[in-house]
Formats: sequence, C-alpha cells, structure tokens
Amino acid sequence: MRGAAVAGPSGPGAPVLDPVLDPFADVAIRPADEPDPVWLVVVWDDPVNLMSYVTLVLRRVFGYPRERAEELMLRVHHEGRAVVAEEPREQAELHVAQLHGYGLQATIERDV
Amino acid sequence: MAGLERVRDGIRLRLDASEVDVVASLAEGLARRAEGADAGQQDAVLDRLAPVASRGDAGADAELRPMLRDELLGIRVVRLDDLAELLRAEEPSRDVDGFDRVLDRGTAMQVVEALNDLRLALAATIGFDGTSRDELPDDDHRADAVRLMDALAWLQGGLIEYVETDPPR
Repeated sequence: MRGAAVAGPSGPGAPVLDPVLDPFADVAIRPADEPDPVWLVVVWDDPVNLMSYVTLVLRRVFGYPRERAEELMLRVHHEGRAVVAEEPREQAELHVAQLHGYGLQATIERDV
Repeated sequence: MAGLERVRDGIRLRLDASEVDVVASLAEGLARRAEGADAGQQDAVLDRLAPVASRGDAGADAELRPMLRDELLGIRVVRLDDLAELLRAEEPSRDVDGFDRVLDRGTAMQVVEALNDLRLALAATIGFDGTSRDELPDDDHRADAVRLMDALAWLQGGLIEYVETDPPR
C-alpha cells in the first residue's frame, strides 16, 4: 500500500511520496491514522525466582491488585511464559528494564 | 542460626556471625564482579542479572540490551554493597555476635531484592536447573550452592511475606 506517510506533517490528504524518491523510505512508516503498534511484555519462567517474589514484583511494577498478579504469576509458572502487559514500545521497554532490575526474565515482542 | 520474627514495628532478622560473613562476602564479591564488568564481556552470572531483552528478535535485543546492561549492573552494585554494609554494621548491643535488628518495610524490601540477586548469581554459577537438594547426590559439586540458595530463599520468603502484609492502620 502506498498510502503511507512518514510521521510528521501528514494526515488525510497528505501527498503520497514515491518510495524511490522518498528520503525516508528506510524509516519505518505506517499510515498516519493507524494506531501505534502494541508491544507485549513477556515474563518467562525460571527455576530461581520465588512465586511470591514474582507476584510482589508484578504488583510493584504494574500496580496490579494481588489477585491479578497471582494469576499472571501462575500463568508464568504453568505455561512457561505470560504476557503481563500490552503497551506502546517505549513503555514496554521501560517495564522490561524494571523487571530486569528485579531479576525477572522479561522480554518485549511486537504484537502480531 | 538465622531467624525471622514479626514484631510491632517491623520484622526482626537474626543471623549469627558466620551467616553474616557468608552473605556479606557473597554480596561484596558479586558487587565487585558487576562493578568490574566490561561491555560485551561473556559472563553467565552477569548475563543473568542483565538478561536478553527480546527473544527471537536479535535486532531488538542488540539495540536494547547494551543500553540497559550498565544501568542494571550499577543498580546491583549499590544494592549489594548496601546489604553488606547493613549486615556488617556495628551492632548497637555488644551482646550480639552477628546481626540482630528490626527492619522496616523499605529495608526489608531492599534485602529481598539483594538476596534475589545472590540466588540468581549462585544459580547461574552452577547452572541450576531446578533440581532440588534432595535429588542431588551428596557428592554433587552443586549441593552446597543449592543448600545456600535454599537458605537464602527461606529468608527471602519470610521477608516477602512481611513486605506483602498490609501495614497496621
């Protein structure tokens, strides 16, 4: 689809750039009216972190109530991983960094 | 022998002198290891403290992980040195040979995090895969480390229980 505009002065009716001439052709582009992509924060099971510790960390990092944090912790424990948040990339990166600070194995992945 | 006891204004943590020495020495050793880390250095222990940030997307991991590594290791240096300093601080009572203090919630949480770092580091050192102490032969070289991890987990679990309890109103 060519109806894509580089982030910036764009929007409906913005000129469509020829990809051959477009100096930003290698920049990730998406339609201006498309919502920001969602990124997933995934926590992985490991044999060291205590279940109570994982619950505590999820409560602290995301502000989840105890029941929600325990539900996610159990999903990590039983399924090997759990998506603990879906959010814009910058926020997801921040949360992964915080989870790493607490010692959890966490990654980001793009929602597809 | 290590002990935890809930008291009116916090949680009382008791460690004898040899336990203080083991935990504080481990903390200091790991702090120095994190402090001296070179960028790009292959180190299973430090890699566990600053793990991969994206699986299946090497580009995203290569972009994110180096940015986070120094910060994550720097956090550990401070946290582990704080733990060692807390444990080695001169006891207010001369009768105490070791550590015997009441911790407030904030301090208890800091200790929980530092103990977790120690357990992660021990696990990475021996390649711990979840095998319990009972399943290991007595002469297995991992047995002592697993025993220590269990002891630290007991302490950590007790402190977490305290931290997670709603404060009295």
